[in-house]
Amino acid sequence: MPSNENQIADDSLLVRYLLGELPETEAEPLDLSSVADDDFAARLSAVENDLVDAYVRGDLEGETLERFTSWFLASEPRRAKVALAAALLERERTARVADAAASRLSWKASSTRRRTWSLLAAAMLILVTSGYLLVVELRPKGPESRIAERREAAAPAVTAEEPVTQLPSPPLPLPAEEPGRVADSRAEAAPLRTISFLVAPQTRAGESVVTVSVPPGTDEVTARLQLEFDEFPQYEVVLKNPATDESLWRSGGLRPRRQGALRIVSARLPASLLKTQNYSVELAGLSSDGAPEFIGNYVFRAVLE
Amino acid sequence: MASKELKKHWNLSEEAFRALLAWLDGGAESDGASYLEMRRRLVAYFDRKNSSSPEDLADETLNRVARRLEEEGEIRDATPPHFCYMTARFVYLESLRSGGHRERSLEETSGASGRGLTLSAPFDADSESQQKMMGRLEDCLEKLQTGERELILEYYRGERREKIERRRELAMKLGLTLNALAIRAARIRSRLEQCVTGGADDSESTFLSHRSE
Repeated sequence: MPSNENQIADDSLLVRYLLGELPETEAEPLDLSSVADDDFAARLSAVENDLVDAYVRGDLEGETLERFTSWFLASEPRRAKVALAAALLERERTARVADAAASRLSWKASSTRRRTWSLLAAAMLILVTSGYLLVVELRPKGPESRIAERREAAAPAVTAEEPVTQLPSPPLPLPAEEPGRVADSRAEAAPLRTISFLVAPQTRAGESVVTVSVPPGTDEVTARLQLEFDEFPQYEVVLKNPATDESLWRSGGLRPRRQGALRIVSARLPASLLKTQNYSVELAGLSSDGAPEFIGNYVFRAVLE
Repeated sequence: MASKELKKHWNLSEEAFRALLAWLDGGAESDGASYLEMRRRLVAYFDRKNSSSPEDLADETLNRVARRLEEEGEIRDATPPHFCYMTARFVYLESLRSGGHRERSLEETSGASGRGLTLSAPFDADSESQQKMMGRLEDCLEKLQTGERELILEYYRGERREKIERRRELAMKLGLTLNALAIRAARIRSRLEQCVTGGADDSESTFLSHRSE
């Protein structure tokens, strides 16, 4: 199937062709190339894929969007292209969330390891020091010791011959409470397994939903809700099952915080509440007298791994 | 009239089908890939023409080509793709006359009006279908060669500016022009699409995994 460079048209013309906007006289040569020209057919597919991707990402606007929804989506094979594009996008977002979670967990794990080793080192130092003092205090006092004591009594200044070498070289047994203390330190340093995700308010129906993959053993899922306007001192968050409108969890008063150019309200949801399904998060502003005022709705999808 | 009736009821024999595959291959054995690619283009062509049954018309086109090959032994007046297009054009015009074509709108085909239903957000409506779709996508991605899988995921990843930059870097890494990269990615995605939409039986899956670019 030969290539015909002369018939390769620019992308905007191809978009109009794909949206059925060209008159028959202009479309016919492109019809021929779409079947008979390898490179044109592939390029047409490339432009079509980018068009479909732009649609599922919400990048189409104006007449192009109108034409896409009224004409392009009228065909089952073309809707299948949209479904594939949406699946690829979903996969990309899921992978991005997983990567972010993995890097956070990795950072926490290394941070925890550093803390644990620091605590262990500090504990060892304390043990060695206290062990030394204990040994010095309790060691049997033989003739040499007594002589030394007399020397000390006679001349209290420490000399070079004083028993630095008598420090026990083998490690001391740990006092009974020490292992527990070390274990407690480890327990304190154990990472709270948390997944965090950023979600923008839903401004129109049919927007792609943020998917949150929840690995086994996750303790908390932190929903970072992006505020469009920050007008309240505190906010309240209600997690709902959109299928039943049942309230599953309600936060207390949450203060907004700044993250770069964004204003964020973070709601720490117990992971045990979540199943693999869509959830809606209702955000209400709390005025100074505590009265809630509905602000917006956020949607995410939890996927339990 | 008798001749017309004969043609109408002509059935594609295995021998005629093999001759069609060989003719589309143009002497190079493609293991059916040329046929599948031609059929895909014809379906897309009829679909863009808003034909009511693009798959049937594509098959009808290829049947007529096979019949012509069987009757005449060879076709010399056009290249295989060009001849397929000319035949498709006739089939399309005939379908217009017989009412096999209609201007479809979104409302007609789906009962939906405008953006916002399952069309624009196919994952929002039905979690079971979402899971199935994602599962099929993963299966089909697995069937691609590693380099192809990495290329297509990398090529279509990211938002506007980020995506453009990523593609530029990818093209440099692979030593391709942006246009050549776009064509390669589109071909892989086309095969992925055929697999995901359920058209790929075992033989097509083989085609998916073994056909080289």
